[in-house]
Amino acid sequence: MIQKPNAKQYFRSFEALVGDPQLEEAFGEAIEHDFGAAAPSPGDGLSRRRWLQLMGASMAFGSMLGCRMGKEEIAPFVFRPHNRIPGIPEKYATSVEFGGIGKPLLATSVDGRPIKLDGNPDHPNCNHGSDAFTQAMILDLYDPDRSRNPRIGGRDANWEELLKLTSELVGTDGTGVAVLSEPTVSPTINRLKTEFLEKYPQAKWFEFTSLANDNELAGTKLAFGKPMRQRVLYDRAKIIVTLEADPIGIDANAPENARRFAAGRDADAKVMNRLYSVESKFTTTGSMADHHLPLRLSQMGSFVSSLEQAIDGGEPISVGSANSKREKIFAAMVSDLLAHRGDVVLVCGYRLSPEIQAQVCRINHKLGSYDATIEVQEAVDAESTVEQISKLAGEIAGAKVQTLLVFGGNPVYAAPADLRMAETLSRVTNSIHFGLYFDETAAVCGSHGNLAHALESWGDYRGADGSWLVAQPLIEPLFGAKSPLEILAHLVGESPARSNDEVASAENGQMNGRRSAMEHVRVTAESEFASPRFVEVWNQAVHDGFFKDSANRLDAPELVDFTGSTEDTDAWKSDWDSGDLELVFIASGHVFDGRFANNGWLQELPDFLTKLTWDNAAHVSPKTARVLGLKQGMFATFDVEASGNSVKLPVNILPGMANGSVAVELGYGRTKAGRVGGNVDQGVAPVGHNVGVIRTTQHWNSAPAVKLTRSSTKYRFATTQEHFRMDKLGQNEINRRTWGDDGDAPLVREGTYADYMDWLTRHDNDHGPDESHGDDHDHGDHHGDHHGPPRWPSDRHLHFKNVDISPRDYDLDVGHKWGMSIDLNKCIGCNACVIACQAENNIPIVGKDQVARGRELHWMRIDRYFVASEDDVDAENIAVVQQPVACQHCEKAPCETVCPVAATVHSREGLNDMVYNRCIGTRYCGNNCPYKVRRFNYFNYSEERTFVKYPNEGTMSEADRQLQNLMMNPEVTVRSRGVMEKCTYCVQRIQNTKILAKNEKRELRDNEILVACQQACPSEAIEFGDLHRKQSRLVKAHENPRSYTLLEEMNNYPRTKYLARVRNPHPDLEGLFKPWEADRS
Amino acid sequence: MQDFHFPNWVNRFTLVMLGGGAAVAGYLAIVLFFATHPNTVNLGHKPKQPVPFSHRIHAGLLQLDCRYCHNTVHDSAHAAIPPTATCGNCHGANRVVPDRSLGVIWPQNETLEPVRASLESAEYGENPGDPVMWVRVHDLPDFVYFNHSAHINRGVSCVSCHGRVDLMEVVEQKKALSMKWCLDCHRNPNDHIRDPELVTRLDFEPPGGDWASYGKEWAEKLNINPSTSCSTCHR
Repeated sequence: MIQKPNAKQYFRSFEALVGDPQLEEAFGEAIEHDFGAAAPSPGDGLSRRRWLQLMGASMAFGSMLGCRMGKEEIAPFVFRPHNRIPGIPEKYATSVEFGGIGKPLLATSVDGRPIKLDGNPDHPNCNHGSDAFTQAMILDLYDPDRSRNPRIGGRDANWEELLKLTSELVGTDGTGVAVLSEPTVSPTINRLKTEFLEKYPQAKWFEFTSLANDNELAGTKLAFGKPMRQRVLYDRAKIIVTLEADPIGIDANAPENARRFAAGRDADAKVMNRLYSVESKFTTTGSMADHHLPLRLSQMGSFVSSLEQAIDGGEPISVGSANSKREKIFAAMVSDLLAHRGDVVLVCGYRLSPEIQAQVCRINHKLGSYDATIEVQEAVDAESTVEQISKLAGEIAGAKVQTLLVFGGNPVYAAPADLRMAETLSRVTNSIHFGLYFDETAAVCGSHGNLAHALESWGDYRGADGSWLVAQPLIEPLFGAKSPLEILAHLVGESPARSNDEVASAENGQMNGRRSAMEHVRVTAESEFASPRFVEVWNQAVHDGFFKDSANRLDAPELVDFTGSTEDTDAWKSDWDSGDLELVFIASGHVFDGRFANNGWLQELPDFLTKLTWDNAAHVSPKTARVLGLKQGMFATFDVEASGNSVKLPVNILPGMANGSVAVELGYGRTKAGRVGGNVDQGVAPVGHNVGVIRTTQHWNSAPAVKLTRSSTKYRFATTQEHFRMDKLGQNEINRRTWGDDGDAPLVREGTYADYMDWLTRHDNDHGPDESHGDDHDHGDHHGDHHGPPRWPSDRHLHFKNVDISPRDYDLDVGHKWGMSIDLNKCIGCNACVIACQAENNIPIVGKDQVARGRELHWMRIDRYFVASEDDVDAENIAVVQQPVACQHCEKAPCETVCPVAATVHSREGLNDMVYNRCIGTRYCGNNCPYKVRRFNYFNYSEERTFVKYPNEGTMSEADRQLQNLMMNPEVTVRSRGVMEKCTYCVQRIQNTKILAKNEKRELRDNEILVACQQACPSEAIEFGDLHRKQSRLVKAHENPRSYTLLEEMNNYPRTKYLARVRNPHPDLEGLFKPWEADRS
Repeated sequence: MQDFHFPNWVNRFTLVMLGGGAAVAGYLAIVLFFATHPNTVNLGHKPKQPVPFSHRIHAGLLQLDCRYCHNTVHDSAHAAIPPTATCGNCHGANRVVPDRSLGVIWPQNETLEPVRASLESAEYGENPGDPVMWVRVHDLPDFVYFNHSAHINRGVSCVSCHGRVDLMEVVEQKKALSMKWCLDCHRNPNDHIRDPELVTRLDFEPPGGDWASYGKEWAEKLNINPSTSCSTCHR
């Protein structure tokens, strides 16, 4: 069933590859039972028998009562706002700050409540794509666990009291006052900060955040004399080298990076960059790399020194003469960099030390990257955030701080452990915490003020390209909260004078009570964009979400003299064999630094690589595990020798990790996050494990010399790794029969760029584009005319004639014919589509326990396959393919033929419709679906057990549930218990766009309908549309020679096609990487 | 212990009991069927409204166009109950709000008190205020996505689903609005298609009363080809 690795092996989990007997058994069971154990869950409260008894009784009573639905009231506006049409969603441009930059967004609002966030396509450096964080942010807005009122000394208070108290404590000149905030790129907040420090000259201001780009700023300062932010234009680079960096994965500017990266990787347009990634933790970027070189973080300095030496040498190194695989990759990298001067870029991650960063800047400079592939942005010259918070701790210890104001952030949880922030803060006489949640920091502060969500406040931010973004509130603060801007404005005590009366009348009646915050933002902008017609400029900026042409950059920097790292240039060449480990702290793709801990969508999102949900883990490579005798899920204690701290973490074995490196996500183990992320006071266990306890000022990004002690306790991960597998067992046999003896028709197809180009040339020359026969392959007459157009990478075709077994009384070729294509070459597995689908389609969260039972409800899953070659799975040449799978909308759908109640039927436009109201939950359709894309509601996840099923709470109060309901998309039915559901191709968007076009008496335009996953995709891997529109991007994708359908031999005619992935290995290295060789039959 | 056997005469009742059981079950099934039938449940539903608004007077005698109040019907899924301000245009007790003054018809009328209270609560446009809570008459299940604009723009008149509202003192449900009822029209739309300009003319009759040919002509002109796929209405 599960084969030993051969020359080319795709596998989902490590156990599957090595043939763990236990897992083989489990896998067999998984194939037998698609939906995991079907027995009633113990958490259900009612036994099946009891339930039947109750149902019998209620049926009897129910039928006695009248059968009309309950009385429903309609509450129209008293005065309907101008241009508001009930039932038509409205879109507003806004922006949020995340990870040190502003992000331009487009919010969809229904009846005054925002329900969806996407990228702002009007912004010159943004498309409609976004990332998982952006998509999930909306859930925080409606989180019932948000702090709802200010508190003073343990009692509930109101904002008037709190602001009065704050003013009193700050006093007249700010003596003994300290402010701790997160660093921000908001011009208004920074202006108010300056004004605050002018008005209270004795006050001190500190900035801290868990994941800052301190090292980049310090590095650029070393290299160029002043700190700057570097923005990489990936589409301009032919050779990309990432060093411990994840620019297209967990990065504030990931959507733009991903879009540019994908644009520079368009095999059909004959543009193909080559990506080398050198890193300790296998990242999204690493999984997209053509050459992935796992290297311990501690070896990175030596690697960079070695690289600079080679670049300075100016001579390409012969790949053939290199000793080891890693040296071969190094040699190829050097040759490529030298050959493409001016078209290359080296990218540093935030974990690399300033010295290494500076050295990389120098290499970039030598290779002519500045102003070619990198542009630099202005940055504030400040001490690193770790230094700042250490200083604050010192001031508090020296009793120099009597009053502390904390704006946002969660220093008690996130600050270096050696500062003992909880004790330190509790020593301050008067401390006030302003935050979205009553979190760990709020608990040790004397008073607390509830902050407004970004979507409830006015603001302004600098985008990644330096453009000036405007944030407008989408909704009045739900709990009367205030934004930091308003609190600061109150403290500064200056209400900016109106610039003219015109503005006053224009905004009259709009956003009552928020006027002053908006004015502050406007006044800041006016000083930058002064113009006699500023009112128009401002109105346009609020409408667009940014000021036009406000993007800027600095001139290409000049190097200053510095030594850089002097590490041994050979140190990186040896692999780890045994001994001490290094522990690397990484940002989580779910909770980031812990700020999204209470966000159920992100918690339940299967990790792009590990497929873990609701957890973090200590990720180690298979070799590390073998050497240390670690097993999957085993608890291990990690001792940091230098500081004497230790932490106990469960181990996850992750191929592609650097040997001797342990990577752990930050942001888990929150004790006061809420009912989702953990709240020990309410008896809700924390999600994951807090690794912050060994993260100190000395060991901020990684802890070297870590000793590991195994323990016998085992931990239960909720991983979706083996869930919803397409049946490999049956597939192999069918393949053998239908494709001929040689025929393995893989689920994921890929080949090399060189081979693809070669193939294209051959086909253009030999046959011409219209030739429909495969190359050098003639089967004679008995195959009839069922050879499709030639396909790459494999030109095989079915050995029998597909027949229409279910003739219809209508023609699927009349009218619209919806289809989708997913380009595996562009898909980076970033998960934005999964959350976008969840937000769009009201998909509930099920909780860790249910995920462990295989009951997650995501309509879209991303299948991640590791690709290994036969000799070993430990080493450099592990690769990954990501494949998003949702309903394929088969024209001859196997699910439809087995439904006893016709609850899933075909629409005339080729959609596989799901009629929830007819569904009686036999789950036959799910069993018969070869793609395993159907999901079953085991419980009323959306009603009885609360919309967000808090795993440790039975029910949510009615008020909380109504709050959560505000987030629902009214265009999609909320499913109840016992009902199947699956991807509908966003039929609500199809229908509404069709109706709109008909109302406007026109045809649908090409590419007019954007489905949710397509809209969210930053790299534009997904296309959707009408297969009859020959000029549409979709049809072009379906006609691409790389296109193929999943499980074609099953005769299902899926409407979703995949485009084979193209890898671009260095020509001298192709032989090394058997998995990537094009396999031709 | 001796086994107990039913005496033979009991056998006579077996048939009677089976027959009786079947009759009871059948009776209950019939009751259930008719009791829950959309015609039973929906037709004639006529809830009491907070203001006894008469469509007969406004739409009938005064000949106000439906879209004077239900003005989003061309653009949106909802025909939209009008904001109180629309009532205020005539019954606003002579108050002036930005851009317009509100009318003075029936300024003292008691039945119009909720309208005036609603306007008052909003301080005539200064704040959101309290709406008049109207009671929904035509209530489709939540899993049905009916779109008014898709029908109105395609020549389906209000009267096809709502009946002669212009003759109703109090609005009541005249059509079953069951799925079969919807599908009947989606399968044979011709009888309900007219010039889209005339959709709010509830008393409209085609020339010569010949719906069949008139409807067919317009259905062809408007390229009406209603879908009966599930996802047309259910999402």
